[in-house]
Amino acid sequence: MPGGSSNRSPDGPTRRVGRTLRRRPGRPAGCVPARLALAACLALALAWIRPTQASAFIRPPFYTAKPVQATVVDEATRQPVEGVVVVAVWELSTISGRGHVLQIDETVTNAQGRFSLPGFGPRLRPPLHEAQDRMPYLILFKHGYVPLSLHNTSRDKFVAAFGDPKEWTTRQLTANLPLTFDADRVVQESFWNGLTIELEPFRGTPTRWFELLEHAVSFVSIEDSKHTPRFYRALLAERAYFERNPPDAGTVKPARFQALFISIQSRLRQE
Amino acid sequence: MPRHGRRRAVKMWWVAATGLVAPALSLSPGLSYELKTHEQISTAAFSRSILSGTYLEEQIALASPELLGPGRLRLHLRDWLTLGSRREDDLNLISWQPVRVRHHFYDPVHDRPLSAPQVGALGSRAPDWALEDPVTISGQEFSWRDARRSFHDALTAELPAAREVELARTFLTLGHVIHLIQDMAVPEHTRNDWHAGLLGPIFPAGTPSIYERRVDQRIRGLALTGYAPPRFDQLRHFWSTGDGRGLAEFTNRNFVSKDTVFEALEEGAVGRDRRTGHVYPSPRLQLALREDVDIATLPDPPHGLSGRVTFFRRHVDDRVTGEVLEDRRMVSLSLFDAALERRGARPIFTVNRYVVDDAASLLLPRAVGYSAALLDYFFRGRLELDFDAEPVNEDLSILTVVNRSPEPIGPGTLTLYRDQADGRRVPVPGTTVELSAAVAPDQPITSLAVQRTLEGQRLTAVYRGQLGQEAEAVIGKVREGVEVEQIFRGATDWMLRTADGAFPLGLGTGPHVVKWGDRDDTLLAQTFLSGRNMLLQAYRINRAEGSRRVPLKPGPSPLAPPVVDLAPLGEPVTLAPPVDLGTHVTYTRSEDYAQQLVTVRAERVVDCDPEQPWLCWTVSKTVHGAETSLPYREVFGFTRSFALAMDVGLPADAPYSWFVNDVFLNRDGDILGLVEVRLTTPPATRVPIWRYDSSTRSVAPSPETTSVVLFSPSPHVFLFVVNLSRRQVVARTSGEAVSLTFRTVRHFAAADVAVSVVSPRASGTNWYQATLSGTEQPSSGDPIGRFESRSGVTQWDLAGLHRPELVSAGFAVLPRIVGVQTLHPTAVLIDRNHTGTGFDGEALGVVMNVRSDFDVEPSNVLAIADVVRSSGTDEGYTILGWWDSHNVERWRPVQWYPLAGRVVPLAGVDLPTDLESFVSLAGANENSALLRAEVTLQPSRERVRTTRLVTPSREIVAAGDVTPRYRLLEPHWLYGVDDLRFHRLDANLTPLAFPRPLIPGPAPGAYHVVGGR
Repeated sequence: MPGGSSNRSPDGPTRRVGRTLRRRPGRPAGCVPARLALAACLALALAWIRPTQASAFIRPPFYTAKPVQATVVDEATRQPVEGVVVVAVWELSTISGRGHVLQIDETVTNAQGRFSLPGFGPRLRPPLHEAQDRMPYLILFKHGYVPLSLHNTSRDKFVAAFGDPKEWTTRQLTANLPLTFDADRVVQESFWNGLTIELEPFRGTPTRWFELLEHAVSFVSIEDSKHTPRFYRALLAERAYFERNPPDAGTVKPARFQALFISIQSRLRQE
Repeated sequence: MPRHGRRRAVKMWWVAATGLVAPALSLSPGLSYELKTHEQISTAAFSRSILSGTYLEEQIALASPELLGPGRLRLHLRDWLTLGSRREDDLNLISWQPVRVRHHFYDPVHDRPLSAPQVGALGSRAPDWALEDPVTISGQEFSWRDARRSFHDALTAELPAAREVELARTFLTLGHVIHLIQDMAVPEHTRNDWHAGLLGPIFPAGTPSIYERRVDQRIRGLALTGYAPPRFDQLRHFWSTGDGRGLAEFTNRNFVSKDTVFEALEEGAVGRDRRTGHVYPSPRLQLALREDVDIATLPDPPHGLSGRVTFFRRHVDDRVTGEVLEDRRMVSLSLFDAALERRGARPIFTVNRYVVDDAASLLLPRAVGYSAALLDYFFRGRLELDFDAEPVNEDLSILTVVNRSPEPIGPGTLTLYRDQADGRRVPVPGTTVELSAAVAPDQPITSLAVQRTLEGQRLTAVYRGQLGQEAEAVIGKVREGVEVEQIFRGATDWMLRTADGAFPLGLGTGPHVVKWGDRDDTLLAQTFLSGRNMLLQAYRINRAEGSRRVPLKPGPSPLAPPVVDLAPLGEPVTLAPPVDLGTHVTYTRSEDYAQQLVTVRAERVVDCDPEQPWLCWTVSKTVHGAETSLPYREVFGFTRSFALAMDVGLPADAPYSWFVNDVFLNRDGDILGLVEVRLTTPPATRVPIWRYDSSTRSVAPSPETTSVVLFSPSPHVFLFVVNLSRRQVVARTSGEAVSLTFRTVRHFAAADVAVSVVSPRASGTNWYQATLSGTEQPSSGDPIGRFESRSGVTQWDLAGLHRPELVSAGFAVLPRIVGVQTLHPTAVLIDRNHTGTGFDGEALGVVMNVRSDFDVEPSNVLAIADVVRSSGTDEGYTILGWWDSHNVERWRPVQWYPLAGRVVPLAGVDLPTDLESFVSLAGANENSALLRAEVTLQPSRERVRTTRLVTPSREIVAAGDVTPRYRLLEPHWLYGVDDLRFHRLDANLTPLAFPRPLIPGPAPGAYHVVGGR
């Protein structure tokens, strides 16, 4: 189904919102134009499955994405971490970085620490956009763990250069993620698919935790935040933590503290 | 349509398009920090800028940080800022400037924008684009110039909604502007290094910037803070100063970019723009700073990789701070370098992740610091609006506008606006001032006589013109109309009462007293307990000073109503441990005590009825004379030398005592105590009374005793203002060394009367004690003698008791003898037997009629009789001096500013001594005091109360005690708690039409004025 509807993953409810190609109300699925478009897309896709070296700089007219499944564990104990909010933002890149967002999904990890985010596509690629290191980028958040944002890289090129990423720790991977992409491929895949992602337990002060939340708030842009209510509700819930553990008043002045939570609330209002 | 209006229309359309439609059209390019990075930098810059403080609330009375802005988005102003910083890279195909990123480059060495060979400039230089200076740029709608225009409209637009939108647009535009300073912390942007990174492997617009990509991926772990916002006096200097302090200069000078790295492995090699051939003279390669590092020793090394990597380090100089940061990894040799060297080929220099991390550790904090500095620069202007009473016309006030900016302002235009009840903002006629010359910081810009009712309205002063070296600066100051708030004790909680409602403070009823601090947003709670157990706690309401908003938070339980959002301010304060009051006292006290004995001999002849012998009557009485003797005299006294301390463990027999008269919370959040110290009176000494012993016919000690009491020279007191939070003395009425000498004389006189009774039945002698009294009226009878009894003060030396300014106001005297009262008793034999019946020998006595003569007239010494804090002043107190000049009691209130060493006398009150007046202070503010006076009329003993409102020049008398109905509030308001209005200081205390009345509630409580700043 071309994006826009909710579905349910085997590991729990997944909120899924497509920002483009969303089916317009009143138009029945499977109508002739849609079928023609799909057929055309598939035909074009076949032509791009094995691009030659010479055509490597030419981008496909659309992208599809594979589902993302991974397991989240505690970096210290290696135990699965349940209840981690996982957001996948499938964002194209332009000459500056930020580009069109094709898809945003969010879910939470189950008791085994597993999460599953669906694939999508095909989706049209706007001009001068291409898949790079945010196609997708993953966001992982749970209270007590350092918020994590994971960029993408080419799995194949990584394996060719460095071997199996399963032998690397998450910390090593995030520190050394190469700038290699498969922008010319129709089918995009998360580098982190099938890997075990280690979350670092947070051991800092309430002030440091506050600063990490400030970072985390901007993981999703304001315009896209309406698609990630779970993530922002989880951030909003941190207010209770700060009531019990106030950050250093000299560093986090009232206006700054207020700004964070108003910012979160205003993002939730976009829903 | 005027140009301004056209630009506004374009802006609105642009924002709507980019926010809602443009995602489908936009290419969103941007050769700069990745956009998430810009958002993080802008967030950090906001937190470190003036915007994270209370500037906006204090200067423009920002009620809520959430603003409904362009595109109907309601965002926190910080999000408007970050949104703008992100949108600056957007590409809008339907704009005059579809590719904004081409203006984001500035090469300070060659003073050029993004450039290409043959073609030359591809855009504007980044500072030109950011500032639209010196000329406007077509299609640039988000420059500093636009931000200034939006800010001006945010202050002056008629409709509140329009002002809100313009304020949001101000921050959105500032976000765009700070993006352009943030880009100057990217080496590629200062070295003409194209890095679009699209369409690899060809990359027609440049290969991707590993610096930007890696910073984007790693920004959570990179330090953003640690660089203090620099200060510049010119906007363009944030980019380039010419002497290397601009951010573009710093980055260009100290870092290489991916395509401007060194091309030769030789000493002194420099980088070069490979497209245009421009050479960058710095940084230079220093071979001595080569470093070969084992990959395994680097942080988070790639799994499974081994070998060595070569870095070249350099010293990074910061010409703002003057620091030279040593040993920074500037560039690395590529992995292929060893092979290339072996083959005699040129090595390849690269910028790898370790080089990026090192560079980012220096550049990101500067990006934040410069961004914050730019925001601070935008909001550096400050105005202050002060109202003073017009001395003649009570209907007018004097409005003074003061330049509180750090730089001179002018020439320019200052305009005053007022908000109508419906929120529309309109200019106040006749208040536009054209400044033709510069006004220095902290100097008044203008003083205007305006209607006093303006004080009750929301006013906005808007300045537009030169500020320092900025030509078209805008400064706004919104002054809220004054309102009154009250704290009172409710049934279950202390309550905050305003014109809009009554709100529980959430403190319960535990505190005995809750009062306002010196700021609008602070409270002080005090427990009922005193002494060692007294507990003081300051609170801060979560709002800016001057704000009339009552912030609420959920109550303590789900069913409880919301309570005022306040939080403890500092730790609880007790009166322990001791505080050295910094005053040493030498106290000499003595009393010359003596007893005289007057012996009177009289004879009484009595006759009795023979039939009824118990019925007798006086036939005659005769006083034979009196004799005096001085049976006992002694001088009692002591000299003590001691330091004063506020010590809850002070022993009971200490030579002084202290108590906390009142407590306050100052503007710094420190709790102050007004401490009074009085000298104590040591235990009395019992001495016998000498009497005439009729049995032995001699004068001898009798079983009776009297007390010799060495009273302290009350009510002279020491006053101290003690910072209880910091355990420091702030001010005191005395000097550091005080020498008090107080000598008195008391010559006590007792009288005995020996009456010989001669009767037909028996004769004998009885002894009676006579009365020495000054109140008895003389009766008939012959004087039997004159005796002197001295009583009074013989020496009263108060050296150092009062500070010079108080001495000048009459609160101190040079050592002098105040006076000795001499009694001249006249003994008169009286007969109280007016009926003439019965045996009335007991009624025979002697009365000493007293006449007092003073050897020396009492001096004009003002004693401290009462003290209150003057509300709305900076450590100002009103002291009531009392002066008994024998037949007139003079009450002299003065305003004392101890930190300035200044005293301002207020109009005094003189009352006849025989009225037994008592005057006390009911309150004071910066120019008046409210006195409560009570006199006792003679001879009816009727008590009459009056209220006197005194200013430096006049006294207004109101019948009765009206102090419960009025409060003197800061800075100069007389407030009626019954009619909830301010009142003029005229004879009728005429009510004014403002402020907004409080909702109905109890009158007792603590009131204060909010707003008006």
